[in-house]
Amino acid sequence: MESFIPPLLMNFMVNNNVALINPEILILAVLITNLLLACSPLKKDQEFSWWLSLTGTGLALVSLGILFVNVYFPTLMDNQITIQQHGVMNVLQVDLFSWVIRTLLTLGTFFVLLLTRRYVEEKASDIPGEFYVVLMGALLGGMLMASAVDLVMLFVALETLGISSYILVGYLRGDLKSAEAALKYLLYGGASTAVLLFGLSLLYGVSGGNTQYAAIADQLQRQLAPFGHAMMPVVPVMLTMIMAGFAFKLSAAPFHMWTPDVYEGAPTPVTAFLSVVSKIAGFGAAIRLLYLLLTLFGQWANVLSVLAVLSMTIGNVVALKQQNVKRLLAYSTIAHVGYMLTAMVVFSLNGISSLLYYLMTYLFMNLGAFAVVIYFANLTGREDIQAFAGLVRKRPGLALMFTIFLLSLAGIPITAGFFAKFFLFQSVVEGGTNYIWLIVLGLLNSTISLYYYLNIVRLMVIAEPSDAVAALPAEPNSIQSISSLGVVMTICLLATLGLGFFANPAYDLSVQAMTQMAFKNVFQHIQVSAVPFPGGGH
Amino acid sequence: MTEAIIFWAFTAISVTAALGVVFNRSIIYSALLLILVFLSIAGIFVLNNADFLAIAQTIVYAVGMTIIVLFGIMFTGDRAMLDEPLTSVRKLVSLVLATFTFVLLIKTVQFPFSIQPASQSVIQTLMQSGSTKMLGELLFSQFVVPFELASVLLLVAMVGAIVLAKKTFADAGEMSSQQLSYSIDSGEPTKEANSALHAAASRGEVHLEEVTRS
Amino acid sequence: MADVLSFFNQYYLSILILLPLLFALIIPFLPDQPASDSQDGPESKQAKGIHTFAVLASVLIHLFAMLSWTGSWFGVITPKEELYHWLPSFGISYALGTDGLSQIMVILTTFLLTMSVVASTVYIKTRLKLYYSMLFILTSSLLGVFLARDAFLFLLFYELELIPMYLLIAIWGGPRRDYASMKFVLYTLFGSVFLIAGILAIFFYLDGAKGVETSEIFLFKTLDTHLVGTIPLLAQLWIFSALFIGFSVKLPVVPFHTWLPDAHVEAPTPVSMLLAGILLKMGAYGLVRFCFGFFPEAAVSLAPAVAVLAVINIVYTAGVALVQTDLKKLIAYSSVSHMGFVILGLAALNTTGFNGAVFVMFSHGIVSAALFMCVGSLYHRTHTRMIADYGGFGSVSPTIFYFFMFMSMASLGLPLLISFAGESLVFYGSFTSNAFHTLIQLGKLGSWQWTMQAAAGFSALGIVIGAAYLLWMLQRVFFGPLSERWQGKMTDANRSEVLVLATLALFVIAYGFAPKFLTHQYEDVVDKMATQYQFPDGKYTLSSTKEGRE
Repeated sequence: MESFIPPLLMNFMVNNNVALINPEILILAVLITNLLLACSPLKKDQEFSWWLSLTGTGLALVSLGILFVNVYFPTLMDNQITIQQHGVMNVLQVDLFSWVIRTLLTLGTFFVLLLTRRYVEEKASDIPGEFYVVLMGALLGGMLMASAVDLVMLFVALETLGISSYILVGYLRGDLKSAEAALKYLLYGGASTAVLLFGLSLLYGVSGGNTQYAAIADQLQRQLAPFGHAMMPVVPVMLTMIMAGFAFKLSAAPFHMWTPDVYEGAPTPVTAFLSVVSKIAGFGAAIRLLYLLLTLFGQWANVLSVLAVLSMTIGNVVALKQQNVKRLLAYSTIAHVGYMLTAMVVFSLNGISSLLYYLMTYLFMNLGAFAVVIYFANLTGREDIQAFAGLVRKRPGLALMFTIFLLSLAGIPITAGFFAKFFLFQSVVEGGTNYIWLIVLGLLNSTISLYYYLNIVRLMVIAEPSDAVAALPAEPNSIQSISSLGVVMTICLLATLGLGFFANPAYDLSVQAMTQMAFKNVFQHIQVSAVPFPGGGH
Repeated sequence: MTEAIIFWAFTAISVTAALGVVFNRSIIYSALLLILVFLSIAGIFVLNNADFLAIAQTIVYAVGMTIIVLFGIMFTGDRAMLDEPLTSVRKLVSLVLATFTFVLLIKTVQFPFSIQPASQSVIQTLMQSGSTKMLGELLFSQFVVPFELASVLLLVAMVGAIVLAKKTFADAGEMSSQQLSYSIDSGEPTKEANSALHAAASRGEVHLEEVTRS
Repeated sequence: MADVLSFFNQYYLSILILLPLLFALIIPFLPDQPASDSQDGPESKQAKGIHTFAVLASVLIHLFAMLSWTGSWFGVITPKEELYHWLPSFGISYALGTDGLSQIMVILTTFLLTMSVVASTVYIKTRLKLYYSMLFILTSSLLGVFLARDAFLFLLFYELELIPMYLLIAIWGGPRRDYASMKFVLYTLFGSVFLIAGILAIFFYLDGAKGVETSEIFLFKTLDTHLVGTIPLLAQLWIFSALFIGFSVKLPVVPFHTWLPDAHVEAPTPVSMLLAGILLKMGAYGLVRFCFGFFPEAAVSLAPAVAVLAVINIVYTAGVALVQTDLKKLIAYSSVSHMGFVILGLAALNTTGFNGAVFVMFSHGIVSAALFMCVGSLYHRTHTRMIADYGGFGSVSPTIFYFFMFMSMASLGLPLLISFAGESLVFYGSFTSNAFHTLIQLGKLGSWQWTMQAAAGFSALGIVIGAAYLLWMLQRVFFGPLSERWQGKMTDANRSEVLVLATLALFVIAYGFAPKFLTHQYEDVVDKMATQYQFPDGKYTLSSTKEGRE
C-alpha cells in the first residue's frame, strides 16, 4: 500500500500527523460519494446513500477506535506530551481531548442517522440523498472545530457546521414551520457569526498578528503587559464579542432566542442532531479558546456565571409552560447548557473534566429522548405533550424508556444525569465559597425542572389515554421488531443507566484529556490569574 | 498628504453611499449605491497595500454580492417596501445603539497596537509580486486545511441552496401540462405526478374521476 | 457449607438491598391481569396469583433480613462491611455496613413491607404488577438508606425513593392524588437540595485536609473522626443547619410538614402505612447519624433551637389534630406529633435521650402503620373519611373497633405498650439532661431558663392533647348510634386485615412488656454516640475521643 503513495506525500503525511485525522478524511469521502450518488436518477441509489452514510460513520468510529488504541492509549501511560506530537499543520491539535469530542460527535451522528431514515424518506422523498451530504458536512465541521487551535481553522469549521445546520433545519420545504425555523436560524446565526468574527479579528490584532493559539498565548501577554491589559477597552469588547458568538452556538441565554423556534420547526432528527452534536462541538471549541483567554483574563469567568444563571433560570422557568415536546426539550437544552456553563466558571481541571463527563451523559440521554419523540411521531404523527397521555397502557416499554430519559435529564438517581450533575457541582465547590450561590441556584433549578419532566411521566403513566394513543393498535406481547429507532433507544438507555455506575473510567478519560490539552510548555511563563490548572498548580 | 486626501475622499464617498443605501426609498437605488460603498472600501484597501484584498473585495462584493442582491430584488419584487415614518421610536433606539456601538468601536481601535514593521523580505515580495503571492503561499502551506475545508463548505452550501430552492412537485401549478400529460400517458403516474394532481384537484383546477381498469 | 456462609457474610448486605429489586424485575413477567379488573369487582385468578407472589416475596425478604438479627436464634449471619472505592477522585465509595441501629431499621422496613403487602391484597385491585414493582423498588431504596456507610450512597438511596413513591400515590391514591403526589415530590426534592449542599460543603472542607484520603472523604468512618477537627465551627453550624433542614422535610418538622397531611391522606392505605411507618424514619435516621452523630459541637450549640422545634412539633400538631374533621388527616397529624418525640430525645444529648429517640422511631413505625391500617379498613368499607359520617361502628365491626382502640391506646402512651417505653425514655432523658441552659429575659417578669426540663414539661402537654383527640375520635367513630346510611352495609374485618393488625398488636405488646429486647440491639451504637457529648459540671467539653485531632 505504502509504495503507491509517492514518498514526498508520505513524508508530508507522516511529518504532519495526517493519519490522526483519518476519521475526518473518511467522512469527507462519504460526503463526496453521497454527492455523486445523489446525481443518479435511480431511486435505489438514493436509498443506498443512507446505508453508505451509516457505514461511513461506522467506519469513522472504527478508525477513531484504532487511533485510540494506537496513539492515545500509549500516551496515557506516558505523560510527557508535546504539542508537535499531535499537531496537524499547526492548525489542528488532535489530542485526547479532541478525540473524546470527535468520538461523541461521530457517535451522535451515527445515532441520528439511525433515526433519520424513515423520516427523510417520507417527508422529503424527492431529495433524500443531499440530506446525507449536508449532514456529513456538518459532522466534518464539528470534528474539525474540536481540534482547531487556529483562529482561521476555528472560524471555517464553525461556519461549516453552522451553514450545514441552517440547511438541515430548512429541509422540509413544504412545511412552513421548517422554513421559518431555517430563516430564523440563518439570520440569527449570521449576525452572531459576524460578531464572533469581529471579536476574533480583534484578538488577532491584539496579539500582534497571530492566529495560532499557542502563538497568541505567547504574544498576548507581552503585547498587553505595558498597557495594564485588563484596562484597555479592547479587551472587554473583544471578550464580549467572542463570548456572545459562542453563547449563540451553545444557546446560552440571553442568546438563546433561536433555540425553541428552530428546535420546534426543524425535522426532529435534525433537532436531535443540533441539540447534541452542535452543542458538543461548540463546547469543544469554546473550551479550547476560553482556556486560552481565561488563563490571561481570569476575572472574565464571572461573566460566564451570569450567562449560566440566566440560562438555567430562563430555560427551566419557561419550560414549565410548554405544550410541544420539542419546544420543551429545547428549553431543557438551554437549562442544561446553564448547568454546564457553571463548570466553566470555575475553570479548573476537575471542572472541565466533569463538564466533559456531563457532555457524555448528555449525548445519550438527549438522543434517547429524541428517539422516543421520533418513534412516537412516526406512530401517531403528534408532537404535543398531551398526546403522550396514557402511553403506558399501549406501549409500556416506550413509556418506561422515555421515563428513564426524562428522569435522567432531571437528575434523579440512579441515572447518569444525577451523577453528572453531582460531579459538576462538586467541582464548582472546589472553587471556594464564592461560588456557593451558583451551586444553590443550580440545585434549585434542578428542583424546578423536575416538575416539567415529571409532568410528562405523569401523563404517560397515570392519565387516561389520549385519542392519539387510544388509536394505536395493541402491542403484541413478543419482543418488539428490531428497528433502527429501537437500537438507538436501547443503547441510549443502557448508557444512561450505566454511565453512572461506570463513571470512574469515563471521568478518568476526561481528566486525561484535559491534562493533555493544557499546553504546559507554552504557558509556563504566563502568570495564571485565577485559574487552577495543572500548569498553574492547584 | 495626498494619501490623507484620498483616504478622506474614499471615506466620505463610502459613508454617504451607505447613508444612501439605508435611507433611499427605492430598493434598486439602494442596491446600486451599495456597489459604491464596496468600491470605496476597496479603495481604502489599496491605500493599505492590500492589493489582493482590494481586487477580491471588488470581485466578490461589488460584483458578485450585488448581482445576487439584484436577483433577489427582481424575484421578490417591490412589494416588500414598508412605509415607516421617519421619526418612529424604533429608529430613535436604533440611532442610540448605533452611536453607542460607533463610540465603542472607536475607543477600541484607539488602542495603540504595537505595529511591528514588516521584515525586509516581506517588503521585497510586496513590491515585486504583490500580496497575492504571499497569501497564496500561506493558503497552501500553513492554512491548507482550512482552505480545503472552506471548499467543502462552499460545496455543501451550494448543494443545500439548490436543494432548498428546488421546486417540489407539490407546486403542481408550475408543472407544465406537457410534463403532466407525459407521466399520465406513459401508464402509471409517478408518485410525484399523483400528488401534484391531487393538490391541483383540491384547488379546484382539475376534476378527477375514479376509473377502474377492466 | 462454610464457604456458602462466608460468601453470604461477605455480600449479605448487597444481596439484601438487591433482593427486592430482583423481585421487582420478575414481577412484570407474571401473567397479566385482565383489563376488566376493577377496584370493587371480584378478583381474577391472575390478580390472586400476583398477590400471592408479592406476599411470598415480601416474607422471603423479611426472613432474609432476619438472618442477620444477631442475638436472636435466627442470627446465623454476621454481615461484614463492604467497601469498594467506586469513584475515588470524588471521594465516593460503595460502602455498606450494619450496626444495631441500622439493623433494627432494616428489620422494621422488611416487617412493614410484609404487613403492607398483605394489606395491599385487600385494598389494591388494579394495575397490580406496576404497584408491586414500585413497592419493591421503594423497599430497596429504603434498605439502601439504612445500610449505606458512605454519604453519597446514602443520598443516592435517599432520593431513589422519590419516583416510586410518587407513582404509588399518583396512581392508586384518593381524589386529590395529583396535587398531593406532586407536592410530595417537589417538597422532598427541595429538602434534598439542602442535603446535597451540606454534603458538597463537607467535601469542600475535607478535600485536601491532612490525614484525609480523597478517595475516602464521604465514608462515614472518615466523617465520624475527621469532621470535628477539620471544619471550623461556623461552617459546622451552617452545614448542620443545612442537613437539619434537609432531614426535617422528611421527618417532618414544623414548618416543613405541610406535605405530609396531603400525601398521607391521598395515598392508598398500604402506602400510607409504609410512608408513616418507615419513610419518616429516613429523616430521623439521617438526623441521628449525620447531624447528631458527626457534628457534636454544632449540635450542642443548636440544641436549644432543636428543642423548641420539638416542642412545637409535639404540641402544635397535636392541637391541629384535635380540630380535624377528616379521620385520616387526624391520624396524619398525630403521626407528626409523635415524631416530635424523636427530636426531643435527640436534643437531650444524653444516652437515655438518644435511646428513647431511636425507640420512638421503632415504636412509632409500628403504631402508625397500625393506625393507618385501621383508618384504611374503615375507608374501604365506607368510602368516606369524614368523622361526621361515622358513628356507632362498635356494634357492627367489633374487630376493627378492638384493634383501633388498642392501637389508639398504644399511641397515646398507655403503659405496658410499646409507645410508653419509648416516650418514657425520652422524658427521662430530657429531665436528666444538661444539654443547655438558655436564659431568656422577659423584661418586667424577670428571666426564665429554657432547658430540656422545660421542653419536656411542655411536651407532656402534647401527650394530654394526644389522649384527648384519640379518645374523642374513638367516641365519635365507634360509640353512639349507627346511622341508617350504614345499616346493613358495614362488615367486620376480614382475615388479612386481622392478620396484619394482630401481628402489629403482638409486637406492640411484646416490646411494651419487654423493651429490653429491642434496646439491647442498638444500645451500643447509641452509647458510643452519646459519649461525644460530655457535660461534666454542666458544661459541654469535647470528648477525649475527638480532642486528639484538633
